[in-house]
Amino acid sequence: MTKRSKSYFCFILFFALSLGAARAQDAAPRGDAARGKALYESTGCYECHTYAGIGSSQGSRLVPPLAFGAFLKQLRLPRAVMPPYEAAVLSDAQIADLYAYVSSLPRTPASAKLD
Amino acid sequence: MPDPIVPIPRRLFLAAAASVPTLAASGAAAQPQAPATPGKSIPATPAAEEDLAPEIAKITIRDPGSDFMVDVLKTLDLDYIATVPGSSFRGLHESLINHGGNRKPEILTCLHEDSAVALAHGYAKSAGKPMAVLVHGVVGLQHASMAIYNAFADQAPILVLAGNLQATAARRGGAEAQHSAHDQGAMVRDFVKWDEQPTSLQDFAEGTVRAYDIATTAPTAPVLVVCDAQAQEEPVAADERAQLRIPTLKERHAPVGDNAALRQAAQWLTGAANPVIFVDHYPRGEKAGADLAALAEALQAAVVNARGQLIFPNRHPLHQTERAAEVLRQADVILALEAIDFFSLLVTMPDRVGARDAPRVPAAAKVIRLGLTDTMTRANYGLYDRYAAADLAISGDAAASLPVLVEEVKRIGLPTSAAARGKALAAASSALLGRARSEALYGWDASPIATARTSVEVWNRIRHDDWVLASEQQWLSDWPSRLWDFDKAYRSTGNAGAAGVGYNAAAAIGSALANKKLGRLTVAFAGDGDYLMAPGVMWTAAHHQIPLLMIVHNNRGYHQEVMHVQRMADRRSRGVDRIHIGTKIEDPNIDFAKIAQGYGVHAEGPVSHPAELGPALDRALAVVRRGMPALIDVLGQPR
Repeated sequence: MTKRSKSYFCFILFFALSLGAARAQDAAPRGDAARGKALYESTGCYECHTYAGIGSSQGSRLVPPLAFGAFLKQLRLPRAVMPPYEAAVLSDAQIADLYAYVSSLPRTPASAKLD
Repeated sequence: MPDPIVPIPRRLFLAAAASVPTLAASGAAAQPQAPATPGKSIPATPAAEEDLAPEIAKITIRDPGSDFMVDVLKTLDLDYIATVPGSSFRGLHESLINHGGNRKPEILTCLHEDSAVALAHGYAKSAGKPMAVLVHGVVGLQHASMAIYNAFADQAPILVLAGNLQATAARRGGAEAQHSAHDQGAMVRDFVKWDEQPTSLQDFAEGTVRAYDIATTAPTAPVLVVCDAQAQEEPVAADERAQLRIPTLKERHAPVGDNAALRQAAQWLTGAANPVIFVDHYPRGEKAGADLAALAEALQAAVVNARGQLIFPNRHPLHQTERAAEVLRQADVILALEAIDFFSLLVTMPDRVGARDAPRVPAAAKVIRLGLTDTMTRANYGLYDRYAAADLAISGDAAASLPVLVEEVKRIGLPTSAAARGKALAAASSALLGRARSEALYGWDASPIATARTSVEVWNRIRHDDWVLASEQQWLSDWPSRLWDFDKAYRSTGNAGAAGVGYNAAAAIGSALANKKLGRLTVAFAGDGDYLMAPGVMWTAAHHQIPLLMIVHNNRGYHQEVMHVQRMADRRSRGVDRIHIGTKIEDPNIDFAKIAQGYGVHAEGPVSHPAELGPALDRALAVVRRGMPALIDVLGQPR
């Protein structure tokens, strides 16, 4: 593959991924944040990602959230050491609730300055 | 049922009988030996009772063997002896406080042997020398054993003394028999560097001085000396005492690695495109630290601290611990200093179903191992883990060898391109700090309190002091190591060694005791599960006026285990709604402040809102600066 064709391929791939992510975001089913909060605690998401979704040495920061498709995939077929959540444990509808809750958490850092 | 007849040991009987005429003739029958230090003297026997002197002499003792044992301990550089009292060393205990005047060593009263040893563990790391710990026969040593294991894994020198009654026929039965053994060392032999069960006072003198010598010679470690109760309690005749000899401890020099091997190492390191220095159980001393920095700078090499060790300053431009995976992946020469878990430096295995070994370094990378740590490898326990061979292994004390290595590296010199490498590492290090400061602000106002927020609130209040973090910090997602300025190796005392719980609070108090003398402010974090193993150690801090800011990171659970059980439940797709069973510490929630207050310690909490944390810390630190311990229970995000 030439340098030029490689660049073209990368552009197409990036475009396709961006489009896919955007569609997945758009396609996020409507969830219930209150139910999601209860699930977030009862299913132990807080253990590694903290109650605030800010992550820890054990799990990544969840805010601002991934696109729904990536969020769903990470639960079903996780990367790194996160354990898998099969549909028997968390249904798609419950994951939508979780997603609604995570989306409701504060997304930006405080404005304080540390030194 | 009549009391059982207690046989008077023959030696004791003869000593008492022999002393009778002399005592009677001199008229000084009941004059006690003057204590080594001023104190209340026992009144002389009234004249009317002089005729009782022979009988009294039969049931009293002068010049007990334990006085000589104290004389032995006083020849060693021991400031303290931590103990939970036990009858198997009652003679030695009495000699410590009366014959020895409770000075060098001074008794520290503890409420659990595990805490006594952990306290000595923390003390050794901050004082740079051992403390003695005196434990009860068998059961006391059993209590102490986990903490001894931690200290062995962490290579902390401790002189452990255990009571015992060796002679079976001299035991009164019951507890005295149950708390005696023919070979107490068997209990801990796999994780002490040396042990001795002396059978005479001369053996005790030689065994104890030798034990101290071995404990303090690198690689340093705990040692055990068993103190026989009969030897403690029987008198020592003057002529016998005159024969006893206490060996003098002499200076010992650490071995420097082979010169040719160090030259080879210097060749590889100076020729490397991406050299990495991995620092594990390297000493925390000032000279050792300066030599390490000199080597890193001479090589323009990335430096990675072993997890939790924080030996190399975290804001040095060449410090790359948080980028360890990346720099190791790119490394072509790696120098490992005093590495204990050497295999894990080179290979990782993620906690996933079907996981396999995954290399952390390129197959072509040359690996140099310099140190003495692997001379402590033992057969049974997994401290030294799986085997991996270095391309160049140099048996020599790393700190003693580094000046030679630095000299050789400077003699060879570096290509001019090395300066660019150093600049790139400095930029990466600086970017990491900036990123950490930004990340810390997520969840800043969250309740329970974010671990980053707790770390910042503490840091802002101690940064202008000469401070020490005397605990592990993984409970707080390692935020202190990301945000605080660990500019000197003594700022951190590292970790427990073998991850045995109950370490942090006790070790922090030991460190604080050493720091008190050095004028340093000590802070520590302990997870609630870890802290609850031995909260009574706070009483020891209050009783002995040891200043320390103790923060309980309260996530109301054995959180590591919450995550492990959840991982199992998820892998098995059985739901996670029952993982709290056996893992959570709630219902009722524990009131840590009330417990600490019960031990006489200033305490507040649970503090669950970040706005309340700063003022609570201010009040606690005011107490600490007055020389007393304080505790804050912080209800935090889980990690």
